[in-house]
Amino acid sequence: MSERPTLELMTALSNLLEFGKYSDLKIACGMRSYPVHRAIICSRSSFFDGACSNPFREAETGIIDLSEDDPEAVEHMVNYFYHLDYLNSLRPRRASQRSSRPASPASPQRAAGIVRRRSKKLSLAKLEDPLLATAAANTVTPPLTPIEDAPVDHFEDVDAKLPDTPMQDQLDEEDLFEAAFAEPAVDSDAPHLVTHAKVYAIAEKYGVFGLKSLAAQKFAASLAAGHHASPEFPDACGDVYETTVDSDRGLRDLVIATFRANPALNLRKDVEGVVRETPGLAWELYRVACGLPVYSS
Amino acid sequence: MIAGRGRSKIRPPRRGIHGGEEIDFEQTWRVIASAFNEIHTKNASKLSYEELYRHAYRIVLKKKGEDLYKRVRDFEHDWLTTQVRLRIQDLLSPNLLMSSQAIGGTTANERRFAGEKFMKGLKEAYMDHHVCMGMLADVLMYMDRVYCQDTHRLSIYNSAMILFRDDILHAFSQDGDSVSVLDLLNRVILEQIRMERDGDVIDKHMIKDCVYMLEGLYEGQTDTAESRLYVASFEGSFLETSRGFYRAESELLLRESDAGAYCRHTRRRIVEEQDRCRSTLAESTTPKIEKVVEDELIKNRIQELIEMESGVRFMIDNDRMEELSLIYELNARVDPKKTELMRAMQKRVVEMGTEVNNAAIAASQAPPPSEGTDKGKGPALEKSLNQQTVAAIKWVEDVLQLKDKFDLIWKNAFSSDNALQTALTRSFADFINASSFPRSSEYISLFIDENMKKGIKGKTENEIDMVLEKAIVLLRYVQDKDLFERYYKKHLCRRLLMNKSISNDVEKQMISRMKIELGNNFTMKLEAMFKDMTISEELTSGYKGHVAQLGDADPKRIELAINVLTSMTWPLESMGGSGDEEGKTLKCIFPPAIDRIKRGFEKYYGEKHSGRQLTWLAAMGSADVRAVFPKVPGKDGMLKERRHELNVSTYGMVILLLFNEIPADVSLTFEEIQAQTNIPASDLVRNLQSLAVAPKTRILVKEPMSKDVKPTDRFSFNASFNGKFHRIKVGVVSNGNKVESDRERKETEKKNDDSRSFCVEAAIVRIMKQRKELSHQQLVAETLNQLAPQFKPEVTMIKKRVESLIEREYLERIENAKVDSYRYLA
Repeated sequence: MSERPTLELMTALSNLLEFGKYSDLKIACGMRSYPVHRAIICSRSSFFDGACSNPFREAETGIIDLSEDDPEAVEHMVNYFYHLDYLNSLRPRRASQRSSRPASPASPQRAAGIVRRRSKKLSLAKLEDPLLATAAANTVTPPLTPIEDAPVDHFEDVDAKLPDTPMQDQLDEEDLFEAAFAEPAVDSDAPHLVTHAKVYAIAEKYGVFGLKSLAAQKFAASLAAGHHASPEFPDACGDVYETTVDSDRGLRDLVIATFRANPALNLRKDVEGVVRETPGLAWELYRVACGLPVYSS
Repeated sequence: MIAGRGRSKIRPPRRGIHGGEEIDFEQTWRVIASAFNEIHTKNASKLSYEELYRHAYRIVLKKKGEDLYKRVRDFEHDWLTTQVRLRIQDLLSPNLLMSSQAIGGTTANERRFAGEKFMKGLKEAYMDHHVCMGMLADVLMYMDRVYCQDTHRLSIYNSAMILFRDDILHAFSQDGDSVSVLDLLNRVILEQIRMERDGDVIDKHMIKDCVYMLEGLYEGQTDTAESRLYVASFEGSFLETSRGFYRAESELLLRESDAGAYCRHTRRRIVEEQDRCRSTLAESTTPKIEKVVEDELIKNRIQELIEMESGVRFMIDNDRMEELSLIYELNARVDPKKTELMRAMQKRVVEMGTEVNNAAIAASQAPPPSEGTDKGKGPALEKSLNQQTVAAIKWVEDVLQLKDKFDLIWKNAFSSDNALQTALTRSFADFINASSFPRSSEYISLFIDENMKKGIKGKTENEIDMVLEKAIVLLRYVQDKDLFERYYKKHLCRRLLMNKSISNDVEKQMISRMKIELGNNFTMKLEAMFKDMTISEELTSGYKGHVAQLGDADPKRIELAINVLTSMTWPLESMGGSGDEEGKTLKCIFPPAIDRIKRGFEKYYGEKHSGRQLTWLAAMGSADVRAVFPKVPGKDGMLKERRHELNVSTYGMVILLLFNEIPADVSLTFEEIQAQTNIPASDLVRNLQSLAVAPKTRILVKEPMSKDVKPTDRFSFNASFNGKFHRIKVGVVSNGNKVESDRERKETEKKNDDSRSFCVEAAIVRIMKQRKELSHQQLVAETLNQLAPQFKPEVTMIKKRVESLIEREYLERIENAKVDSYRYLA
């Protein structure tokens, strides 16, 4: 398998964030501060690129203050820059680690795989396949993280020809490896819908398109796991409609699909509250009720 | 779970942060606008990028993108028109504004400084704008990404660049003036370039920066390469100005300098323009300005240039290789075929070739041409003929020299250009085959003849090779190969029969070279001649053996060396003397002793080859005669019998033997001799001249003593002959290979035409046999084609031959055919 080199890179990146070595930029958010690296974040986000390449205060002080943003979303974004993922309990040390939170999918690929498998099990065909919806909404900005299996297959082929290399044995002995790529147990009790919506919004704001699509996937997976029933669903709906422009369909389509698939939602008081408060959502639900296309640009 | 619920409780403040409540657009814009002001005044380091980004982000998120976009544009428009434009206008000094035509009180230097200042200011304004807009665009990134993309607007950066173009460049330089800043900039750049062309040093980097600006801005709304301001506004007038400049310059140069200097200057200009495009303007202009220079300095002038007094003719005559190669290079730039140069070169080749031809004709006619008409002037005639031979050889050498010269030019100056080589070959062929100079075939053959007889003596193999190669080179140019063959055969014939060749090997080498060059057909007969010679040697020795076997040991036996020549192969008609018609029909009467041997050999030969007839050609042979002269008192008073071995021609031998039969004091008249020997009159005259007139070989006494031989002259044995050597060679006048007289040439040509007729007929029959039916045009074309390697027949000759073939029923005309056509009759 090809994980060895990948693992090497990922571990190195984790360490860079954890120990702040070579850091040449700080991201501040309230009381927190992340030692980061221009090379890593400026190449991923046009916002950070702009901040560092123009003679503004940020370039001079080397501190970018994101206190105006949601601290949790900022943390997830920073984690994403270095781990290609967020809400992942397997990171060696996390400043904001919440011990109660169980593991999430280890990588986007894994996440995709799980979602597919799950959607089969739960036969959520009615949900208009959230992944397809995500992909359709993101046509302008395709995800940075490849979801295709092709490269993985390729390496598997290579490996199949050399099944008994010592490195393989060595790899198998490594606990970290085992842990990182073991089938993660998804906590169906922790929906994180609000978190994903906020991460989605911050990714959109700062132009981190890989993160945006990852957040959309996670949001879809969470809905697919039945978390629309959770009490945070209405809050998430509100965030979805308030934090991005109307033309951004990434999460909106998922929410609308969930409403269509679950008519029982209208019985919930908290849902009623958010629909009343959020005109964008109310309008789109009205169009759904009329049998019209939800959005026309 | 608990955490999640807990967070939902703190929702209100979070939503506030994310702009849940309405934001105050005006207030936010004021913040942004003041920040932009700071950016424009280069105080950005105080500003928080994050804050500005956030403001813009929120405005767009609240669907106020359009307002923001408009405000930013207005802000920039304002900034440009109030701040920047003033700064630019400050740079415009009055002498800069004056049009270049009205250049009055200002010196060029002042103007240049003003121009540089203006460019510097403009460039700085642009660079500032460029940098600031880069920063603004980064701040407004979210607007570009969401608002501009959704509404298909130009990005704010591009939009601001258009503003710069309209508000600054297209603005009038001064109120009420109709010249825009852009026009002025173009004018300044053009002026600076003009200065540089005139030899001044200018600030190239500055201009390059301005060009960079013009390349970054576009005319209209689209960003195509063609609509760059540089192309749309500057390049055209640059090319136009340059065209005018170079047109004037070319006129001046043609008037004032020679062609070589002109070429050097032109090449320098082209390199300069290429450099200018690289260092000062844009690379994309290089081909265009090159074309302008090429058009004005070369294409429109090449003819004049080549025909200048110091033009190609002068260069060729003086071997100016460098200048010729410049001309070649320049002409090749504008015309891949190099038409003009080719024409000039061809003209010069033909001119020089014609000079060589005329010189040869003049040299050959130097003494008044009396040859052929007056038979009396033996030695004078010989002299003039020698002169002609010398002229022939000189002609060949001159032509070769000419060829060497042009080959050298071609190699060194024309980079061995293929088309030019073809043209050279054509021109050489033109003058060598010129109708005004019909002697080339003969001259080339004579050149070979001369070398075979004398020239190659003592030369190394390599040198000989070179001589042969030279001959072949010339031969390539000759069109009428059949005529050459005729001459060569004639000359070769004499060389072989008279043993004049220095080396048989070299002769054979020559033949094999010709075989390679002209093909088997051409050399077949020549080779047959060599074969005859070999067979004849065998025959001679065979006959000798045969006679010895007969046992007839006659002490007075005459030895016979004989050459049996195949009559079709050898040009026998040219050996029968100088062409008295009756002479060919007469048979020489040999003295009885000789006649016996003759019959003996005929018998021997008849046994070997039955059915072959031998014709004796006395004119070509020679004989060694042992002569005994009566005793005369020597210096010491002793009487001594003198013996001499005389080498005479066969005719000479026959004549001398006549005097053996009669008493020493009896004389014979010319007519008597002629009657008794049957020797053709002209041969007889020449032989008697050498026996009785030539001072060293006066074996006969002529009465009266004069140079001319008249029919009534009397001849008797010169008993008092006194020779210094034992062996005396009696030369016969005009027996070597000489240039033909005009009459001879006409004859040769006539003979040649006759044999051509056969070739043409044969070709026609061959073609018709294969094609059965053919139109006249096609037949002529094919005939010409088939005969091309040998000669170029005249079309009238082909027509005549066709007529003749129709008469003889080889062909018939096809009735009612649209075009004249013939059918082959089997």
